Amino acid sequence: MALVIYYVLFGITVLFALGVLFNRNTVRSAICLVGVMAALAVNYLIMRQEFVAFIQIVVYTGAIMVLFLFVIMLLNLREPEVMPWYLRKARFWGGALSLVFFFTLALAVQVWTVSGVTPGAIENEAFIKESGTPEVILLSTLMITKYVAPFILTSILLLVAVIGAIVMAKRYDEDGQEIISEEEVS
Amino acid sequence: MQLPFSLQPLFDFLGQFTDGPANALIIVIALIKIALIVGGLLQIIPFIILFERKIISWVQDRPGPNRAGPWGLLHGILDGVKLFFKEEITPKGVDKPLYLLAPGLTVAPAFLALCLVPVGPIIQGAHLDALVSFLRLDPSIIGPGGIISEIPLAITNPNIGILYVLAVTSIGVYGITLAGWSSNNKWSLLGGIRASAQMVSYEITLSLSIIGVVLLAGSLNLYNIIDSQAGGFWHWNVMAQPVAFLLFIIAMFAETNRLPFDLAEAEPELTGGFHTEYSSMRFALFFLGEYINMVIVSAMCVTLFLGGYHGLFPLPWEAIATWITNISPSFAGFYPWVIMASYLIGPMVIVPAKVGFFIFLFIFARATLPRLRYDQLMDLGWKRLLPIGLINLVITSGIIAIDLMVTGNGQVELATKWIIGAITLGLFLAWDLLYYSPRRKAQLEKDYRLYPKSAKKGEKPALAS
Repeated sequence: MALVIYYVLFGITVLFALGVLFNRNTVRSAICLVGVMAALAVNYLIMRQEFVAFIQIVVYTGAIMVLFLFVIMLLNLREPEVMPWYLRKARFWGGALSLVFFFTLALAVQVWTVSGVTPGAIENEAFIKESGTPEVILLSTLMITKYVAPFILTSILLLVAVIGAIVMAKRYDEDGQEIISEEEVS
Repeated sequence: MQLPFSLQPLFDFLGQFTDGPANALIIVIALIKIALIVGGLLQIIPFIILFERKIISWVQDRPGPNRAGPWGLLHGILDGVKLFFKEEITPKGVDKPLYLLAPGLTVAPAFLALCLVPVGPIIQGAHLDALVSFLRLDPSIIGPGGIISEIPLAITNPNIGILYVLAVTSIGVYGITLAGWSSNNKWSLLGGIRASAQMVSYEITLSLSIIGVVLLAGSLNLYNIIDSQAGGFWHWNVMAQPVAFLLFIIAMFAETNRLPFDLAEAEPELTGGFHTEYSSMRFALFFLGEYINMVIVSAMCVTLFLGGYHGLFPLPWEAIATWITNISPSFAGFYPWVIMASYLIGPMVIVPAKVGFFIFLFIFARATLPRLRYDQLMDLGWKRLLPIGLINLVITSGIIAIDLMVTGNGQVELATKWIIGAITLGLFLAWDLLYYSPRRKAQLEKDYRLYPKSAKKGEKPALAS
């Protein structure tokens, strides 16, 4: 029964992913990407990772993809009339890169068989059951003890990105002076 | 007291199809809960709409709907019937798959979030025993030592509780955004874009106000959060997190797209916003989704801040039951009934009363407040509510950390809760009354001055040209 659900879900995920690639309409393509994210979340749920699954939905489907859609709708994207130089041989290089990526992934799958129930997962589950602590607490404990450095570095990276976006969005006149709009003055 | 026949054979029969009678029982219990909670809410929504129209008419000093049935009681139901029989129009030029998907994407997340609303306590221990012996079920399957050892009075009770609600309600944005885009109509598109920006902005405030409560309870599970507020209204989280409570209420209005934040469907500007091109039942689905969302955010507010199914004062139900049985020998059989009443008073009286209060608040705000301008909305969300939420969170977590270090028992003391509440509310009021409000008032007077500056107080000034 679980295997059937797993294969059905796998099919849905791949279908949505193909939808992202082959839709000419950007909004439909983005909606397919939302579908991929949601299907991945269900995948995590099947692997009994509730917390990761719902964080996936909150962050990817709930926030990032909404902003994607928002930008697509604002920009009113059309087919570009002149191909930029870096997209001239996009098909060839894209195909080659995805082939490399596919074989790397296949190798990884071969090495750590992702069948939903790995020995590590069983061990983990037993540990969680035995200790009686919810996985949220285990996860957050790991995050602020063992992985505290990557965690803080990631947050600094995000902060830098935010500040960079603000700096880039500011407008300057010829003398390099910042242009302040009427609204901000009042 | 027992049923004249046992229900066990029924589950033994069903168990042949579901890997044992325990699974059959789990499914049946879930179906009963779904039927009661979802079905009950769907029946109530027409009356909420009627209640809304009645209150608005009361505020505006007119009779309101009074044609169908006494006090217009049938108006809501007849509205539903009318929407069913209206012609379903699909305009030319719409993006059909997304146009059809959008109403469903608004309603489905609302129903999914409904699964988590805890309407009553968890039935366990001796009380479950009494229920099992009343229905004459096998105690090895259901009972204190059985496979099913407790029945929460919510459709499901996952450990990540509140995170699930946040995740599911965040999907609701897509319904409105896609409806706006796929309609192929300028006003709809504007409504959709406004809605997506607004809901994403206010979700941050909503989450920030929730984190304080999660810290106080030490758990994401909704039942644990409610249990941390047991024992009378002075234990409720609204005492510890008054500022977060205010933020939650404001964000709640924005998340449900209700006035004063209903920019997505602002009638004077956008003719109806994202649902302009929808008719008949597709429009009704948007309508339904909005009202279910209102009920859900109200229920979440009640769960997080107002003690959920706990009453104002804790009542010792077992003592009351013993006292009643001791009055006279003829009352001896009343003990289990009183206990059952103690379980039903949550879902039947307390939760509807608290949720009803918030529904009233939604309606009263709609009747009395003007709509915000879009830049004011963004200003409020990003420049006021977000910093307030962050500061509130820092103070709360700091005091909780000190408390946990001093006592070391992993629980937040009642006094600490009050200290947090007093400090955060005091700082908020001081900032607002001493700094923000006077400046804001001066600014508004400067911006909207009708009279020339030379006009003196008391004398009637000439209007500025």
